[in-house]
Amino acid sequence: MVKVKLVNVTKRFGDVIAVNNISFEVKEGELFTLLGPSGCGKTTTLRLIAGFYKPDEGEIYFNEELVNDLPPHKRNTGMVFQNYALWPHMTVFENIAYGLKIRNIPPPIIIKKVKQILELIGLKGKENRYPSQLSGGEQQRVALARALVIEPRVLLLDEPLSNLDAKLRLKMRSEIRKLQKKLGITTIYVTHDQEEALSISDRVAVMNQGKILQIGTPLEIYETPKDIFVADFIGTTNFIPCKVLEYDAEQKVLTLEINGQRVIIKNFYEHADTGAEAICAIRPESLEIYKAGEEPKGKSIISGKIDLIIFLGRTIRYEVATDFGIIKVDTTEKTKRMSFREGDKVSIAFDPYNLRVFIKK
Amino acid sequence: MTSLNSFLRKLDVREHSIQILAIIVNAILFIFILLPIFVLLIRAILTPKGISLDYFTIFWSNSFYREALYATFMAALFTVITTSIIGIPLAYIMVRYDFPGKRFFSILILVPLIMPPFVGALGLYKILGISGVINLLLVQYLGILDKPINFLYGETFLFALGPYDRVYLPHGIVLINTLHLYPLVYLNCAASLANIDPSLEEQAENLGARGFYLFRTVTFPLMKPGWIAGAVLVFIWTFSDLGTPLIVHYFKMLSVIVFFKLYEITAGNPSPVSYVIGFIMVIVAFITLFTSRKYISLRRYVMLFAGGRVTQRIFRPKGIKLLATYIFLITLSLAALTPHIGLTLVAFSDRWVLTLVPERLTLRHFSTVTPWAAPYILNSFIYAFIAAVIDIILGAFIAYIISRKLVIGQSFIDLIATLPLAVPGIIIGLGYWLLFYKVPLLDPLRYTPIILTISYSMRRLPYTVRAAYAGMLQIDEALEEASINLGASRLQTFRRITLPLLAMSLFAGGILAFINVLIEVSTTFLLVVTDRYAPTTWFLYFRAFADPRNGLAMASALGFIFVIIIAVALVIVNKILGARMGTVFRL
Repeated sequence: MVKVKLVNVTKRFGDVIAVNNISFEVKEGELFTLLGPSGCGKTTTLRLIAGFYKPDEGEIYFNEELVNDLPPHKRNTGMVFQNYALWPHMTVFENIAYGLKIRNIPPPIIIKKVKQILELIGLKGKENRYPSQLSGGEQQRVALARALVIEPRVLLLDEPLSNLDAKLRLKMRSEIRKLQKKLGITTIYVTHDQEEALSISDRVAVMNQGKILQIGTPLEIYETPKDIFVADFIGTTNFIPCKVLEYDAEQKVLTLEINGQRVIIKNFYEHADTGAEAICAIRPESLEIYKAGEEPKGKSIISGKIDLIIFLGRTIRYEVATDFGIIKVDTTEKTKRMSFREGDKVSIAFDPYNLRVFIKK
Repeated sequence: MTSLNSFLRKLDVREHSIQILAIIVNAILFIFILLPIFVLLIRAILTPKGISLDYFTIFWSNSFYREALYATFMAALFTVITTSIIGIPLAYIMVRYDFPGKRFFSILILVPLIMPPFVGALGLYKILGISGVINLLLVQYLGILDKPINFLYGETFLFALGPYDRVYLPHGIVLINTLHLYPLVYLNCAASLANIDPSLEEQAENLGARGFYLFRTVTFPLMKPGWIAGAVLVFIWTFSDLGTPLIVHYFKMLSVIVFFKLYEITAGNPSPVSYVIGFIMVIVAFITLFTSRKYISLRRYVMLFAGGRVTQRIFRPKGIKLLATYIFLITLSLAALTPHIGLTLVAFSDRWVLTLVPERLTLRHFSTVTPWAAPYILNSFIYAFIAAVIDIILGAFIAYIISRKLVIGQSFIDLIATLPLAVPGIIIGLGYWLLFYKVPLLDPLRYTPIILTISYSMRRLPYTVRAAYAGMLQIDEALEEASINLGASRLQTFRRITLPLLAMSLFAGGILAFINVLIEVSTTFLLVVTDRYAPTTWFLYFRAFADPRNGLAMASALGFIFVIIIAVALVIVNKILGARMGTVFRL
């Protein structure tokens, strides 16, 4: 197994800086995800690791070995492409066996290994089919098997699930995760789907415009985003403008004014000037909704009118029109579901503990 | 070696082997396509006294040569006009109209494509000749004319140019070439017509444009790329055609002058007039190529001819329009079939003099010519096969490096690889004589098969390059990257992944090259000097046709066999390629 390290890597295409001075390290056996919107540089980064591009600046290491000049067919990385890239003129067996044949593995061993992996991915008996005779999910699994059977140092997955329908995507997601854990193979995963990233990764790197904004575990990224972009990109967030009233650097306590009320944030480690503008971010599930006037005393509230009620299955989302724009509130409480109508005047209550504050620079 | 390595590394180059192969291919293309052209250009202006225009003066001072220039130019120009008059409406009808029998006609109108050019002239002999069927009808049987019209031979006076020069039009050549070349204009026009976005015309209609006005202001301008591509090829072809002028005995053409002066090269005393004519042809080819380069490049070819289909505005003509359509198509099909019918009748007729149809039929021409021609037919097949194989290999490689952008200077290769389409065979043949006479292994006099094979493969290379390029674009690059990722080098990937997926396209291109080598005339006539190693087209003119007693009949019989062979080959290809047949004939 292998560690992958990128140090100050930059890649340009003409005037465009696709990957801008990024550094990260992937531990052995880790499933590390590059997450970001289209054009953020995540696929370029993956292809740099695969060797299809050479970095303009910076170094890429596999363990201690510098691989910048190592051509892609010598890197022993296994890549699964977004559209699977299964060769139409070869059977499932031949597709999977390809990498082994190139390595001059003796035929009896090839047969054994291919059969093993087919069983592992649940496609036993289909080795003589052609890709066009398989379903989308099956094709995906063949592509995965083809990359895994060569026992690569690193597994690279480029949005492998984006061509599958929603239910299949969920199923394959956990299958890939289980397989990866079982084989303990260092894996780098690229996706734009933040739910996917959060559900399967050991750690996530959020990217935008060629830069890495934050690296952390799914929990860290979700609960403590370092950046407005990350907060907005991951899950759903409400943004409420506020003002800094006072910052106590000794006690690490920040006092804000939100909606005319004083709110105290404890354990705040960033310096803030009095009177500075800030943005508060809070997730819909951390908000509580009450009929206007029925809220518990002593909580900070924002008033508004219900604009839209959205039924999401297990939650109901209320889009509330307030002085700060539309605020989304999610609730799973069954009793609450029944009692609200569009147009109702409501009070939104929140706990300062759930606020993430971003001081404007 | 380290500096070379760092140089290559800086180019972000992966595989050295591909670079080396590309350099070799570049060298081959340079020596055998570009160099002959340069040699002609240089020799024309390089006199023993240094650079001067003396040779041009020699050429220009002879009124025969001047008139040959005019005649050649007029023949080409008029053929472009006539083929356009046929090809443009034909394209419109076949693309935009739907009517009973359309499928049938769509095959019929392509019939000239299976006829080697001057074999068609043979076929027209007995029908349009002085004592041919048409004249017999008009003069003797119907009494409409007093004297027969000379359809095939001779020339028509057009106008006088200054006090000394008269400009003539070799009408027979125009007639024969029109019948042979209109499919070029038709197919190219049809392809670009089919790619016009319907909403462009609908918008014009919405604003009030209709009928011919709509065609003139919107449709035709959008169709022009295809028309220009076809027109350019027709012009260059006619300008440099050798076979047809020889068959109709019209020797006042530039190509024929070059041909007759060839012996002077082997006699050690090459005539400067040949250089000048070669120079003129190169300039003409370049001018036409340059003005139409946008329409002939690889990318354009693929966009126009191998690209996506746009939903058509199809119209079912009724009444007068339908009648006119049928009249047009039937007349055209009959005209297109005339050479074939004539050829067949002559080949099978025992005696056919001054009668409307042959008096007696026989197979004796076949029995005489076949054993005689057999070795030459075998030669043709061998040449065609080897040339096709060479072209497939080269074409696949060139298309691969161009489409995957693997080497520097790929637009150079792109240009050179499609150049032979527009460069006349006369230039290549003459250039090879000037370059390789007395050069070991390449001398046309002593190593004919080698130089002949080279000229065939170079001249047909564009067919396989284009077919392969179109095929490459349909292969997702990820398929190759997956192979590289799993450990295969680029060369291994090319062999195991790209080539099998390209197989169909390569086969189509190879067949096209094969067939075209079988019927090739210009470089054959120029480079072949003796019977040994001669192919069928040479034999047909210099032996069969030249026979004093039965020349026409035997040449026709051989021509007939040849046409059958080609037709059978096309049927086989059609079975294999199915619906993709059309792409084989587009230019």
